[in-house]
Amino acid sequence: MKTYTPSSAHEMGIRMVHQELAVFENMTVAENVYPDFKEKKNGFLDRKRLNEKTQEQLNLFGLKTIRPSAPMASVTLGGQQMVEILRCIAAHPKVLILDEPTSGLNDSEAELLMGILRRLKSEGLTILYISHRLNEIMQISDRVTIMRDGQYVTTLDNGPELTEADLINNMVGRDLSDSLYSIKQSGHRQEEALLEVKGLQKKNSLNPADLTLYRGEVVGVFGLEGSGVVKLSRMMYGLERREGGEVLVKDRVVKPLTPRAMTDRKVMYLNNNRKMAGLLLDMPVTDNVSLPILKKVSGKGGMINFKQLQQISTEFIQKFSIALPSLTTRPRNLSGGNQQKVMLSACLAPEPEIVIVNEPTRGIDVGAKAEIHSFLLDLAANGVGIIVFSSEMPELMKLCDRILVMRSNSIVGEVPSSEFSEQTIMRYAAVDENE
Amino acid sequence: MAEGTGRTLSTNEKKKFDFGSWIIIYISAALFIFLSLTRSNFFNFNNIHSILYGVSFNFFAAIGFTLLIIMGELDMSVGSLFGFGGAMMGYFVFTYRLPVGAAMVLAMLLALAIGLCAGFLVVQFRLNSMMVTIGVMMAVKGFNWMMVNKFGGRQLPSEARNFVSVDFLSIRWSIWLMLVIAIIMEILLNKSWHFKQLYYIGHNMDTTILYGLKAGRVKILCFGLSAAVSAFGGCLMTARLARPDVTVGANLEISIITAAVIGGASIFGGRGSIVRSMLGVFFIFLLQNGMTAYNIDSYIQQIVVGTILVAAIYLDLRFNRKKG
Repeated sequence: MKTYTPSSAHEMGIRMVHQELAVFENMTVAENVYPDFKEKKNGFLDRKRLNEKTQEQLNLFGLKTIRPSAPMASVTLGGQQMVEILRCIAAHPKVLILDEPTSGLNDSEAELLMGILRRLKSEGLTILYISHRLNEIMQISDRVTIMRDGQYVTTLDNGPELTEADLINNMVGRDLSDSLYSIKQSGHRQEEALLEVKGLQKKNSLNPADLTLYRGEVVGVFGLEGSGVVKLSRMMYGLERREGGEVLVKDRVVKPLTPRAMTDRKVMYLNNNRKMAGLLLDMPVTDNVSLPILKKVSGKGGMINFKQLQQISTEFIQKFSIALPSLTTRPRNLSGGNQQKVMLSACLAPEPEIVIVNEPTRGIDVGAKAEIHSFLLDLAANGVGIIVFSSEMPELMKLCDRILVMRSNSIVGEVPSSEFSEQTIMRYAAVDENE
Repeated sequence: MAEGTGRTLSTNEKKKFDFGSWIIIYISAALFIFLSLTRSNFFNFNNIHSILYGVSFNFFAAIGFTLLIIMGELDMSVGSLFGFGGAMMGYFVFTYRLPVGAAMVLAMLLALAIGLCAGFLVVQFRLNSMMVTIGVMMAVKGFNWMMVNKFGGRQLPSEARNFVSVDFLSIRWSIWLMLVIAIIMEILLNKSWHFKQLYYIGHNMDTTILYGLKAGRVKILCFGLSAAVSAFGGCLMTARLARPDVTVGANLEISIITAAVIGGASIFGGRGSIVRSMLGVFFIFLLQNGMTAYNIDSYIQQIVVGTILVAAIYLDLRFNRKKG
C-alpha cells in the first residue's frame, strides 16, 4: 500500500465511529444512515425507498423510538450516536472501529449497543473497540491491547482469569524509581479552609461537586479525558457558566463568580493551554509578568510605576531561572519550559493565597518540570493553598496531600497520600463500582 | 520594540529603529515636500491651516476607532455617527429651539447610547464587531438622511458658526484641541494602566480575563466613547457648514480605517497609536488636497484612497498577522 488515507481505508471496508459526533444535524435520520443513497424514481431521489431501508436497519437493532424521516437535530444525543454507528454498520464493513462509543449513551443505550456488537461479532465482523471504561472492555472483548502515553504496552487474552486489576497494572506502571517522582509524605493538618466549592454543577457537564482546600495544602484532581476535570476547574474560577452551587473564599461566598472576583480575593489560575490563554505571546516578557499587577503598581491617576514593574519582573526571572536573551523577548520565541515559567510568574506576581494550576508541566522538558514542582511545593510550604488539575498521576502523587478522582463528570473518590498508588487512583478513574 | 504596542516596560537591549511604525511620518513629509515644491499655491498659511482645520473635525472619528482597533475591534459606524451628531444637533435646535451647546451635548449622549448598545452586542454575544457596526452604519445613515431632508437646508443660528470659528494665536481652537488630545492620549496609552490594558486585551483577550481585567466592559465603554466623540466631531463640522448636511461624515469610516492602518494600527489588534492615526488622517487630507491641486477628478481620488486602503491592509496582514 503506497498511501494510507481515510478514503483508501474506506475503500478497503474499514469504518470508524469517532468519539466526537460527526452527524448532519440538519438532515433526516435516513439521510444520515445512507449519506450516499442514489436510487432514483422519476428522476428524483426515491425517499420512500430510503426511509424503508432505514426503518429496516432501525428495526434490526431495536431502535423503535427513532423515525427515519425525523430531523437528526431532534434525536437525542444517544440516539444520534446510535444512528452514526448504524451508518457504519449499514455499509457492511469488514472492520469496524469504535472510539469511546458509549461516551454519549445512557446505561440502557449502552446495553443495547453491547448486544448489537455481540451479534455483529457472531456474524463475523471484526471490531476494534476503543474505551477507557474497563467494565465494557471486559464484557465485549476477546483480546485487549493496552496503550499508555502514546506507547504500546501489551496485548492480553480476555479469558476467565483476566481481571480489571491486570488491566490497571498495565495502564499504570510507569517507572517511579526516577528521582523526578517521589511520593509526598504528607503531614498536613487541615485547619484553615481557604477555598470551598459547594455543589458546583451544570447539566450534562458537571454533577454537583464539593471540594475544600486548606491553607498550605496541595489538593490534586485526577480524571481521564472527558471526566469533567477541565469543566470543574474552569467553573470554579468563573470561566464557564454554572447552573448551581457556589464557591467560598475564606468562608465568604464569591458573588458574582467571575475571574475578576477571584483575582480580587487573591486566587490565581494557571491555564492548561499556554498557547490559547495565559500569556501574551507577542509582548515582552515583562509585560506578561506585569499584566496581573498593573493596577497595583500604578500610582494616583493610574500612572504605571515602570521601575517597580521592572524590578518585580526581574525578581521572577531570577527566581525561576528563566533563560532570556533580554527582558523584551517575546514568549513566542521561548522554549515550552520557559514559556510555562513566564506564565507561572504572571500567576504568582499578585502574591496569591490560592492557586489553581492546570497541567502545570504539560509539554515541557524534565529539568523545567522538576523546577516547577519544587516552586509549587515551596509555595505550599509558605501557606499558599494549591489545587492541581493534572492528567499525570506521578506528578500529582509527588505534589499533593490528597487526590480527588473524577469519572463521568463526578468526583468519585478521594485518596489520601498514605494510600497513594497508581492502581488505587486508576481504579477510581476507570472502573464503575456500581456495575 | 515597536512603539505601537505602548512603552516597553523595560529594555536591556538597544532600541532597534522601527521603520514600519513611523512610516506614516516619512510618507506624509514626502508628500508635503512634494506638494510644496510642485504647486505654487500649496505652501501658504491659509491652505495648510484649512487642511488642518478639516483634519481636526475628522480626527474626532479616529480617536475611538483607534482605541477599538488596538483591542482588535473595528468600528465602521464612526462616519455615520459623525453625521448623526450634526443631524441631531439640527433636530434639537430646530424643533425645541435649544441653544447649540445643549443640542450638541444631547446629540452626543444619544450617540453614546447607540455606541454602548453596539458594544454590548459585540461583547455579550461575541458578534463580529465589523458586521455589527456596518449594520449600525446603515441604520444610522438612513436616519441621518431622513432628518436632513426634513430640515430642507435650514440654517443653524449664527452662534453655531461663531462657536467653531474662534481663534487662539490665529489658529482655530479645534486644531489646538486635536493636538492636545492626541498628545494626552498618547501619553495615557503608554503610561497609564487604564489605557495600557487595551494593548493587552488586543493581544489576547482571554489572557486578560484570566488575570482579572474587565476586558468586556472596557470594550463596551470604548464603543460608547467612539460613538460620542465621533458625534462631537460631526457637530463641529455641521456648525462650520452652518446647516445639517448628508455629506457630513459620508464615507468617513473608510478614510479613518485607512488612516489608522497606515498609522501602524493592526486589524488583528494589539497595535495602534492616536498620534499616528492623527497623522494618518492628515495624510489622507493632504493627498486629497494635493490631488485636487493637480485637478485630479474626485472619482479618481476615490479610487486612489481605496487602493491605498487595500495596500495598507495587505501590508498589515503581511507583517502583523499573529503567527499560529
